[in-house]
Amino acid sequence: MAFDADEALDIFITEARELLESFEEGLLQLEADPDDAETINAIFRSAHTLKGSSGLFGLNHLVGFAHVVETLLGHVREGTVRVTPELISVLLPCADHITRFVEGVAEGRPEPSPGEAAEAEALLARLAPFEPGAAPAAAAAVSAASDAADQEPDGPRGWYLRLRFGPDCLRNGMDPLSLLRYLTSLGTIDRIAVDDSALPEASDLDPETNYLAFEAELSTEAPKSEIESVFDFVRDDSDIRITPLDSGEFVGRIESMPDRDRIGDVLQESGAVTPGEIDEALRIQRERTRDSGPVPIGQVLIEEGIAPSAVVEAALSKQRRTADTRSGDTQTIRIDAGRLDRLIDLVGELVIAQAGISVNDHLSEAQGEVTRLIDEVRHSALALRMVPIGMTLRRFERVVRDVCVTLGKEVHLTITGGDAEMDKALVERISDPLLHLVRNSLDHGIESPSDRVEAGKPAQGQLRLNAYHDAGNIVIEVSDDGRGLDRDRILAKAVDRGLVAAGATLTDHEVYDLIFEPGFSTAEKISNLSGRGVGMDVVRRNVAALRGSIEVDSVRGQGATIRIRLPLTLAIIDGFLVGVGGSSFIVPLDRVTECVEFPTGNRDRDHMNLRGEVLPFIRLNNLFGLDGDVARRQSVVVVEQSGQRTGLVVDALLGEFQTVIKPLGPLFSSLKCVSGSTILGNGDVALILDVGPLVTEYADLERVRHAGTGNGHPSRRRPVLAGQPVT
Amino acid sequence: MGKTILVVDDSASVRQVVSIALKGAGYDVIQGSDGKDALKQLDGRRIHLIISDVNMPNMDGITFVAEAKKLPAYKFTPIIMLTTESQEEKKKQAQAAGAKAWVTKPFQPEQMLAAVSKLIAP
Amino acid sequence: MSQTRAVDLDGELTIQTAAEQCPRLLAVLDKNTTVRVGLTGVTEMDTAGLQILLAVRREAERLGGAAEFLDASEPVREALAILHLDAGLRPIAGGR
Repeated sequence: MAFDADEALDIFITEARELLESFEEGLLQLEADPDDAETINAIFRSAHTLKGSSGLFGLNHLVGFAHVVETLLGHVREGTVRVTPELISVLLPCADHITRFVEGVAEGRPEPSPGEAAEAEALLARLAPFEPGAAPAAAAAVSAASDAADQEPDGPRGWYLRLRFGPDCLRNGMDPLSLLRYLTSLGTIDRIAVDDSALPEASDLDPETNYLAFEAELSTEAPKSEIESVFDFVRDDSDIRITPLDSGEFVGRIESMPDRDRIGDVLQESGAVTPGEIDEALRIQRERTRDSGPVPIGQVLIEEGIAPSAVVEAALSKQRRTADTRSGDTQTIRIDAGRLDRLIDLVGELVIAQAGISVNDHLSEAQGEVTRLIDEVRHSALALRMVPIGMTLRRFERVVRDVCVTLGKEVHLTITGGDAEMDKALVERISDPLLHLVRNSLDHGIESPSDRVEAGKPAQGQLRLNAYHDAGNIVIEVSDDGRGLDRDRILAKAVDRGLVAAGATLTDHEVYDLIFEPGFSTAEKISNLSGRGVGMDVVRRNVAALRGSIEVDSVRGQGATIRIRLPLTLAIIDGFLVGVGGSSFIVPLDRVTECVEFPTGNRDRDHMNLRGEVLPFIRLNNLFGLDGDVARRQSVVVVEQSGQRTGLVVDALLGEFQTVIKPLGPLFSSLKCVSGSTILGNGDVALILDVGPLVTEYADLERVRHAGTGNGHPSRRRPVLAGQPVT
Repeated sequence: MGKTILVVDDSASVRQVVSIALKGAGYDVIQGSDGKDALKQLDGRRIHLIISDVNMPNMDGITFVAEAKKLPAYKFTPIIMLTTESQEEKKKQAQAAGAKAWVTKPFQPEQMLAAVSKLIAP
Repeated sequence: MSQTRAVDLDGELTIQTAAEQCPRLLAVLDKNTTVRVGLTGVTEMDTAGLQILLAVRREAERLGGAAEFLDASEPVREALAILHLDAGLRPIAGGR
């Protein structure tokens, strides 16, 4: 096609350039003065003329495109379409498109490239809703499109491309020139340079080997990933680097981002670096670490030309700031944990010694003061071990994100009460059970977006982690607005597994508690995520090992809340000292609700009347097989666990006692009802009762007994073999 | 004057859709219904690009690509393989045989056009 | 002492033909010789073709001569335009 020889075409191109210039000028003028009839007329004429003359040269693409623009401007001229900033901002890129096409014609390309054709279609789609009588749906589509554009904002962006194609690319049929041609369909190549410095002497030249490299500046509205994808087919043996020309925008975007832990996430989210590039940088980092010692990833990104240093710097300082916010504004000092433990141990000894004095009851005013001070020292010593739980909870942001991606769910995580403090050792040990609960909620609790919408809920699920202090405990809640627990299914399964006798009537709470029974997790419940060989029974065991308890609230279809209640510290508790036979026991004071006299005439029963309610009780001397005379006047210590009250029958009430917990040796780790021991002021050892298992175990025994299978006696400790007759 | 593309697929409808899309963009198209049939088309005429399916009767795509690459006239011809997500292994084999580009099925004609125009202009 | 030779290329100037076109062109070069390469008959040019032209020009200059590219056909112009090169393979100042 000898277009370039055609003098008439040259005239057309000159004319078109002039028309386009006045067209654009007119649009800008209209933006300032939307009702200027003369300007409206002028731009209409420009479009009309352009359409007419391009028809003469068979430039059908231009004719079609200009026709739509002209028609729309006709409506504007007749006043049926109003000039709005939105309209102008669609018409301006139309002018750009025509300009590009005309320049293409000037360079001898009378047909649009596939990219240009696609661009034209997109622009026409954006014009369509402005037509009078355009369906509102179309307008909505456009506003959605412009919303999307808001995320990739503000028109074209400049990119620097360094393209070193592999030596074999030509032999593989991959033509760099063709890829560059395709690149122009994404935007405009503002500058390009051919680097032929690798071309060898003519005698060494293999004409089938590629020696050329290119550097280009591309301005495009396409995201980086799309530019990157142009080079998909040559990626393996080429070295392709794409970096933003102007780091400013990315730096700004990074600065306004919410906190992130990982620099890779920050860079990726800013759009400056693609996931593929992060992977490559990590690979290079690994290689270089192996060859010559550790290298920071930021350095790799800069040196490999993957990201400009300004952007990497911004991401690094974001990461630092994130870390700073986490550690809080308060000044901190690092202390060796060993020293801290030693201090707490000493305070513990002090507490014991002081307890001895008060037991001996030589109380004077001075001693009272010493008691108060020791109590204060104890508190501040313990406070040294306290850390806010927030750090642990925030770790789950990442978990939630990753799990959601895997499961295809949308979940928003809310963390509240992160500044509630608890013992550092506890925080560390509660982290795994919490992780399990969170995964469980995501996996089984929150439904897929489509199921949620069907159930009339928002597609995005809510997961809440909440922590608060409550009566000397810390409570951590994991709640979701998912499908909740299926009472009937749990019950059926429990009967199936022999955990519950068929036909037993259980309260909701009792049913929900069944999910914590060993062996309750079934194959259908185990998935990659929450499966992991850890069931809810392990969660409960872990919580119990921390002297905590766990309970479930659930409303079918509305969600579930799992509540973990833990002591603030593992080191010291307020205890209630009781005597049974010749032995002493400590009952954690926070479990004790009251003490009453053991009613006479109840000697053979195992429950009593407490203000009109039935209170089951446990005879500690029987439970622990203690010999010795039973006191004439026994007492009942009423303890409460998860709303369930039980009496402990003891011989003597010895009063409150600050208890430094000494853990039991591993030999006794299977012991269920005792959580530790302590040394009394007189040097005697007292066992600390673990109220939770004590009460549940007893209740289980009771249930089996009441199930009518006979003569099991609560005083005989037996393993609970649910569903099997106890003989 | 358009460049010639050989489309090889045992599904006539796939060949047809791809052909229409390519012709619309200004390419010339010839077709082959399987590897063996396509190989017959490689009679020395200039072909600028080959698009080939993997699973075909008589001769599969990977064998066809390997055979085509042995012919001097076509050793540099770019080849687009039509793969599916589950055929990572096939994709690797195809690349080893010389097909360095791919389009994942199912595809829209626009995706095919994009892949083609990365490799050759009309 | 300075002399001029002319050579016309036709057909494809691509990877397909590079192995024949390249030695043929290089053979025309000589000391202190300006070689005029006519490109009017080139029907197609890819990176391999461009690379040959660049190599020829460099070799010609190394030999104290020069290579001039004349009458670029439309496909050649189109290819060069992508790289912001004019029909003589010189960078177009300032780009587009």
